[in-house]
Amino acid sequence: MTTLQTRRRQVLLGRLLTLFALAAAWQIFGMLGDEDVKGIPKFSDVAVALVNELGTSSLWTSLGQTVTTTAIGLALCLVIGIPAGLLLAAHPFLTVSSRFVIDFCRTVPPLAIIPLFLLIMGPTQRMAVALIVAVSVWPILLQTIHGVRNVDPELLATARSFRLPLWRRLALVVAPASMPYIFTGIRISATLSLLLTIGAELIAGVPGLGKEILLSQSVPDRMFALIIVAGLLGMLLAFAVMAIENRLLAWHYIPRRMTT
Amino acid sequence: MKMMSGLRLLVWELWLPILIVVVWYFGSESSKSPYFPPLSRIWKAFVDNWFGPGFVHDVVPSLTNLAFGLAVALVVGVGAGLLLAMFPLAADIADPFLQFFRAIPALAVLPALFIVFGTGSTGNVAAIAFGAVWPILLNTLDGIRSIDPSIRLVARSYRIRTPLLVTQVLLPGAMPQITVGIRTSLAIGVVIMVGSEMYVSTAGIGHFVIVAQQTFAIADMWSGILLLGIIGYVLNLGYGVIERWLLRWQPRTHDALAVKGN
Repeated sequence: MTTLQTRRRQVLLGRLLTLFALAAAWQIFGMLGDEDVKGIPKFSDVAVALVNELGTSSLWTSLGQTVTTTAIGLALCLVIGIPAGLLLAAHPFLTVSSRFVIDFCRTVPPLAIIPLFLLIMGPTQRMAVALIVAVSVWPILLQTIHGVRNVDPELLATARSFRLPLWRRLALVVAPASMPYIFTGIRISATLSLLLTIGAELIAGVPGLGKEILLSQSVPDRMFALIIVAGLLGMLLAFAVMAIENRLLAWHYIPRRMTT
Repeated sequence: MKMMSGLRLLVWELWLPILIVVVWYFGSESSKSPYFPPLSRIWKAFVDNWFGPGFVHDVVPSLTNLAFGLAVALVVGVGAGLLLAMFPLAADIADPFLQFFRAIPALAVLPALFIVFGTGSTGNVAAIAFGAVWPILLNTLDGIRSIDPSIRLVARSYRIRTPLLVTQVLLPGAMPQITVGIRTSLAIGVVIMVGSEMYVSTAGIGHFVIVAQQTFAIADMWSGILLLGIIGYVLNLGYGVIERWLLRWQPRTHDALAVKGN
């Protein structure tokens, strides 16, 4: 057996042991709590609740709502953010002029505008989508501007000297060169969008997974099960974005690990 | 970008924000819309709310919770990241678990955290720390791992003791990436600060804003949103200064804002 195989076995075994230890620690921690006081439920109860939930339509409905809201919001961010970024990067005047406004909007704590949107649109999916667009568009916009402004000038000069028309310069030179930057923006926006969807559901009562978590507050078993589902959803989203990125940018770099 | 005179740059930078405020101010002066009160009224509410007792009642608790939460996240994140980086097998084993915890939308955990830590400010601090710890931890781990192996070999051949290795080689080497993690954590921390106050709390700016909305005190609500915007902007600016100080030994890149494939 090669050392690599040994190592893989060790890692796999370690992961299983860790999973088991975490579950056991949770179980013991849950049993310590007073039965009368609302505390952390036992792991076994949460696992049962999770399995039960998977068989109900309410879980899948709310999961579907959350995914749809996030997807629509993120898609709108792409459609708005990338062209706007291209435009603002076209001339230094536009870039510099918009800098302060973008910087300010970007750093406003996203949830701060929930009350305003709630007031105008009520607890609807439309409100959550509007919230996502108002908040998640900035990372994509900003990264597009940086990406375009960092395209190697020699590449552009070469393309121009070949008299490539504007759209071909955009498609063949600017787009590939700025893509790595833009994808960093997309990665940030995707995570942010899901966070905002859950936040709008939890705080404003927009239908979806977050609202289900809010409604199950008095049933801790179910609440913890739903939180685990939310975690899995987040993980799935992160992996999906990374898979698309690695596919589209395979020529650019060796697949990275997920960090930020 | 070509070199431009300072004055011209300043004019380019500032004309739009000034124009927006002026248009907002005069455009909203006669506004009858219940949702968009005149800016003059918002400004009056802003002064009344935040230059008085409201500052002590709401702003101080919010920022204190944020500071404590981030401090916990920083200590735990850098500590755990360092520890895992020293034991590669442990880091490999922990990887999927770290990815899972990082991927949980931090707001979804709020109800659970408030059950465990109570609804006092401990709950808020725990929520902020929980959300903010993962970017710092993962970036510390990754930053140390991406230090040039030959540097670590040199350190080993000199038989440098572990404390010295940590403070003189590993942490400085990973610092560029740790600062990226802290920037992400700062943004997440502010989000959770506001969210946790809106969700359950008796004080704080987030609490103030949501109560103002529920009681239709629209000018007050706007003043809170404005304050949160200013706090977010100032924190980001302040952290930029700290970051430059932490990385003062590094050659400056031409565009610090661009995060390329981090």
